[in-house]
Amino acid sequence: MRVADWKESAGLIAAPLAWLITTQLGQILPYVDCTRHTSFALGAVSAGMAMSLAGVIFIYPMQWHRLSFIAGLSLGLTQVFAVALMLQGLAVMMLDPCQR
Amino acid sequence: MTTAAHSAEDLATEGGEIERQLAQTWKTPDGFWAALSTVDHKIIARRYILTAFVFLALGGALALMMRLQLAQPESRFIGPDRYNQIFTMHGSNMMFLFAVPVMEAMAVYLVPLMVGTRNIAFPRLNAFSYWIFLAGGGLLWISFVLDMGPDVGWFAYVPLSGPQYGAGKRADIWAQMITFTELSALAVAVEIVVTIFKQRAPGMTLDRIPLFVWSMLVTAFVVILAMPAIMVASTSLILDRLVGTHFYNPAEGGDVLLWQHLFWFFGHPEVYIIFLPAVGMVSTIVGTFARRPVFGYLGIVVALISTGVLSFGLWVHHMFVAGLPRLGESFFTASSMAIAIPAGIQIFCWLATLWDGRPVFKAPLLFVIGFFFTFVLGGLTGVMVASVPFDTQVHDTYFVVAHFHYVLIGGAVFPLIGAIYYWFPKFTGRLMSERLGRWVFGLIFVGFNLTFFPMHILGFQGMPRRIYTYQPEMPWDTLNMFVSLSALILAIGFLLFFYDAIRSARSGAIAGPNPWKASTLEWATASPPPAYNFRYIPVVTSRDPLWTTSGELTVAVGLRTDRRELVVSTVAEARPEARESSPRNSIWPFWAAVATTVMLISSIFSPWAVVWGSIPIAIALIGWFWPKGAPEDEA
Amino acid sequence: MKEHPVLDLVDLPPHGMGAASPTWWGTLAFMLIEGTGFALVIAVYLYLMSVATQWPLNAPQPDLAAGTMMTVLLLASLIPNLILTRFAKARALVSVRIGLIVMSILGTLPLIVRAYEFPAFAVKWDDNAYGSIVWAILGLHTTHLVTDLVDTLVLTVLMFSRHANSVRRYGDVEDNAMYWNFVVAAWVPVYLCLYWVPRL
Repeated sequence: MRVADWKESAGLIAAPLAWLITTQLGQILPYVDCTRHTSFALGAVSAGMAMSLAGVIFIYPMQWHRLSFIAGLSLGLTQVFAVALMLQGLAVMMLDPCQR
Repeated sequence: MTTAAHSAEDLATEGGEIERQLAQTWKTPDGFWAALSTVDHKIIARRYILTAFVFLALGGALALMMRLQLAQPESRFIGPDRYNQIFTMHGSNMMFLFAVPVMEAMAVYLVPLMVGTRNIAFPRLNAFSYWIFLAGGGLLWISFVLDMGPDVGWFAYVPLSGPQYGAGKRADIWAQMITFTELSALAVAVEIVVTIFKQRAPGMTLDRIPLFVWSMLVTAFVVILAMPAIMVASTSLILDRLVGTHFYNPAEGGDVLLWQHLFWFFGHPEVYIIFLPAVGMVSTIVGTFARRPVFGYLGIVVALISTGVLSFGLWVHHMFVAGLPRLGESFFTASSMAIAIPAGIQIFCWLATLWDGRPVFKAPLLFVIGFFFTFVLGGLTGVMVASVPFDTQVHDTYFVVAHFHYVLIGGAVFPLIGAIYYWFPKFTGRLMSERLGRWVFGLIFVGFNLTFFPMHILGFQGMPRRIYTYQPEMPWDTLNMFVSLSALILAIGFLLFFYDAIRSARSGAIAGPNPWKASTLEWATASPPPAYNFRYIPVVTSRDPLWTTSGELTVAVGLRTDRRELVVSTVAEARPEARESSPRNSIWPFWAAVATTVMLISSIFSPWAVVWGSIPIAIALIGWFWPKGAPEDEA
Repeated sequence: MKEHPVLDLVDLPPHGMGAASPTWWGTLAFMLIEGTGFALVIAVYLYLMSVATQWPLNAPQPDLAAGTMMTVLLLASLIPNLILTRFAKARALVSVRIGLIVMSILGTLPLIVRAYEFPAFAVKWDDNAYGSIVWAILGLHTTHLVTDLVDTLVLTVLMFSRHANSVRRYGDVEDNAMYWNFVVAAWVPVYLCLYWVPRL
């Protein structure tokens, strides 16, 4: 098994990091969105989704049946966290930031 | 690095002499002080497991007392103060003294064997961590027996546990017990990470690591990142109570919710610290008894890692009725539901393995099947309580009690008991009883469901948690009586399990090295393994070494036998890069633990104990690390 | 089971250095644990600040003199620390001995400065939550300074003993120096949090 290079392992970091950031921003931004009638929370989740997809963008051109273990892990993790981010995005679209 | 000097025939001839030298170098002698000084991971792990099961039995006794009290309305068996102590003890004991330690202990025994090394990393730290664990357990239980047990719930919310409402030293004892158990758990977690990263058998690349080892690697990282939160929380609670700080005092700028955030930031990952090792055990048992490699290795590793990471983003779901903004809470709903996906991935992989395999329904697999039903049910109610409106209705009712017992007993205890049936022959050299195992499974499965399922209904009917009694006008009496009677079935199941374990250890059928014809490295050595684990370090060329080599094990030669030596290999590809010595038996970890215990317990009563108490600790640590001139110190 | 030899380990070194040493990894793991602890207490500080009406609570802005001196002192100590690491890699016994004595002194000076930092906040730990968290954070970092100093002193004594000249000892010196880098690195966000965040 060859040691993976950064293109294959970026997804291991990008997707979880994006989700961690959106989770934290999701605690802070509702206060802002409520008082200033903005949509920063939606922007944050969208940016998080973009960041996590960017983590695996380099893997797509590779030959899928010859992906390394690490590349496989990156792809898999990104998929799971994309679902979590999508659910967070749905919440932002459905709920009023001023609600308690 | 091939060898011309040795052949398989050479190994067979010199084998006996090698064994004799290794046994001499690695042995733990008989005697009291030798027992206190051992650094053999197998001996320490067995102690840990036995102690944890003693705590399980004690916690179970507490549960039976609660069930006796709640069987009838306005019962006078236990008064309110004692009842508060009992449910606090039950939760704290089960979480901190049983569940986490037993899972870590199974790893302490199995991980070095499964990765093909001779001892765990940092063996003296391992010895130290057991004594600290024991001391923490002793602190908690002795206080309880003296009617000084903590009575503020296993989560010790402020302000109830703070200086204003928490009279006496009860909450301090809880907080310091946390320090003991977290210190012990952190130490073991570090050992596990370093063992898995650096001591794997040559050739055991990352994608050949056994799934139980993967689950322990992820768990160890979760421990390292989550436990500091509760250390910060419990330390600041003691400071509030002992020296007048105001972390949790709103009148002076503190915040009550701060406690909840800190506690649950640890508390949610805590349950995954308990669950992830269990799913590693399930993967192992499914693979062995389906008689084929587990389907979807990559998917399972993805599931393990994503569960571990996601577990850090769920904690506010314990605070849904604390008044936080809805949109903020919904982010945690999103993640709490998302974490069901990796769990589901694993379940489908296991089902596919069993479907495509040729399953043998022995006791370990029965417990895994019990796990499937029970954990899935608990997971379903988990997704239900992840919804804020639903949780607002059932928070602090018996619905939640039902949910977490389903996921904890279903998700952790069933796999654990299956794992004990599975690995008992390796630990002791004898098999447990297959016949009694079926009875144990039946009693526990039926008893558990009859005890805890009705609690969902009691929760819907509005029965709150943590009440020592209830009025006859409430519609809860019939179900509570039913639950209490069913709990006896569950208790009998556990008693039968303990009986089987004790009896089999003495007179069970002799097991050979590999009674289940399993594929991982621990089955390549004797049952129980010798002190040095393997005569020669294995060299691994596949994910299931014992299934691909048909009776012959590829090994590495060249380690010294006159000093304790093992192999250090690279992280990703497990290329050997150094021989490393492994420490000899030492009494210093024990003395360091004694000094630490004295310091921590004294600091419940005075802050100066931290200053003065650190001097004996420093002396013990210097004694621990000072080189002894042994061959192991050579480089 | 029948054993078939395919690898000979006899030429491997009897002790690895750096990433080939378990203690190096143990030091890294300890840094992760303590780093998480620092991150958490800083998070607690920011949380308490977010729920307060004014910050610092009933206290002036912290006086910058002692804290800034601490920062300068700690950052400056990284240079002799780096030099000591090079000596240890080169296994130069006399230079390592001198380096350890220098680092012992450089490990003691911050404790003196720290004694002036506590009063620079003009608040006690039991005055209010601001005082509590400031003393807690400073206390946590002080504990790290003290334990690393004791570590360094013991190592210094060890390097003057008969156990001194071994690869293993030089590895210990390198690991200890690496940990000092961590203690300094942890100070930077703590300094920024305690002294500059309230000024924002």
